[in-house]
Amino acid sequence: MMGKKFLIVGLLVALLVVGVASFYASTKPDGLEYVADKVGFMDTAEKRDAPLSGGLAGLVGALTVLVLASGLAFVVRRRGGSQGEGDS
Amino acid sequence: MHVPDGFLDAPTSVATGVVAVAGVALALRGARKELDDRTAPMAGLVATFVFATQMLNFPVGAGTSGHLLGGALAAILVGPWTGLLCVSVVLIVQALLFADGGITALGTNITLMAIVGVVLGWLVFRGLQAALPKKVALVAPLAAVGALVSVPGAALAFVGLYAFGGTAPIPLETLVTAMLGWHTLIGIGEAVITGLVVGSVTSVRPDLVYGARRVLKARELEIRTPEGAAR
Repeated sequence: MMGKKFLIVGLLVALLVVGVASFYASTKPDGLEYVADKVGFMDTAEKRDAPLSGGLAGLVGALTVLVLASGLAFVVRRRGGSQGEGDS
Repeated sequence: MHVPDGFLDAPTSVATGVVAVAGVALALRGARKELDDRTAPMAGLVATFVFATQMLNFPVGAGTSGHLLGGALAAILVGPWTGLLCVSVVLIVQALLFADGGITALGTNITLMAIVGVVLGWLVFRGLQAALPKKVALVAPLAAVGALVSVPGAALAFVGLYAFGGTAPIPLETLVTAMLGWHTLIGIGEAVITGLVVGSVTSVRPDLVYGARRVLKARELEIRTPEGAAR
């Protein structure tokens, strides 16, 4: 697979970000939640508990995304070839 | 910008669900043109990276935070159709495993972030790229501009949906001003992150950047001594 080193480094960076985010991410509400709160429709939200939480959860999520997205990409791809057709 | 269950009424949720399914179906076809043996692994990496960076909320004002949406980033790295799929996978995992974004709101979130965010970011990028000189060095800054536009664009789309099917009677001007204001700020963060990431990838492996393809092809066709190595 071409670019294996690049992909491994990229993956490590992503996992590093997951680790950093688990500790340092701002806990303030995000833009939409903040607006909803200020403008007054926040309590129409039906909140539910997260099935996964905790430090490892981010890691599990990242790996799940990796497996699903890679799997999808491999199923969808054109076999062989290195030149793509034109882009849109 | 993950919409929870309850913000939008059932008909609107169903409608965005239909849009989401249609978008994903189109993307599955379109991604075939973008993905081959060599570029398929990038899609997995990009999706994982978007997931990871979406976890990293950065403060945007006294009481608010923002996080990367990733639509423009994904589109420029792996192509708009593949990008749509990547962001959709991220949203699905977030909704199902982390209760980040409602389940009935999944169609809404896919429509807003995977479709509007990606398409807007890509179209702005491509439009600018077509109008400007074909240089690899421009890929990252143009990606940043695409990113900058995509976030308030998606926010505006949310307001549109809310006008249709919001469950609380909110005056539209209030909503528009608030959403656009904050999400333009968040868009700046998005632009910075997108520009940095695309810039780094382009400087080491421009061949893996979908948005650089046309520029690289144009470069090959020029019969002249190469200018200095790409930054």
